[in-house]
Amino acid sequence: MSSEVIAYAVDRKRLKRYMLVKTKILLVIL
Amino acid sequence: MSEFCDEIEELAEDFDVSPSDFESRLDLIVNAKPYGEDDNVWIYNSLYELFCQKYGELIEHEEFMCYLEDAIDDTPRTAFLQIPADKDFEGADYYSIAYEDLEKLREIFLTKPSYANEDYYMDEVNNIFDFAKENKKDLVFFAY
Repeated sequence: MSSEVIAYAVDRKRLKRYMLVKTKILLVIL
Repeated sequence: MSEFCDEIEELAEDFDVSPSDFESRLDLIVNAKPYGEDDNVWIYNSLYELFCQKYGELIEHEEFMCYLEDAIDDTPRTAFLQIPADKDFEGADYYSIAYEDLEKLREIFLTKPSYANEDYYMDEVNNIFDFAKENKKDLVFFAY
């Protein structure tokens, strides 16, 4: 089915923290 | 921060939907609101990849490992953020592997597909898993 696979190395704890903090600010701006 | 807005606008344009379609779902994720019924679950997949792009590192690799589903079959797709499951897999197929599970999943990736003993495939899988292991990172795959 798929034809391209992309792989990311992430730090899941930082991902959650960054996402929550930065996007909350973003949503306020929006 | 404006870069993040640009990314959303770009995604919306690519998929021919309104930026507000992405923003409203972003709001649900960030504020842990109930998702409810949603015909556009793929938008969550796209947002998840956006977060991985912004806060993770793309692992350069060849293009041999092109059938993610051969390794993980119908195993429930996992994400490090709370997003609803895309049961019909209309969006990007994704699979997230915690650092402590890397070796267990490496073994699965190296045995499950019918072509798992092909050198090029084994090299690619090992490169990706080695990179995550050496950098003490979790791993997220997206397949299109």
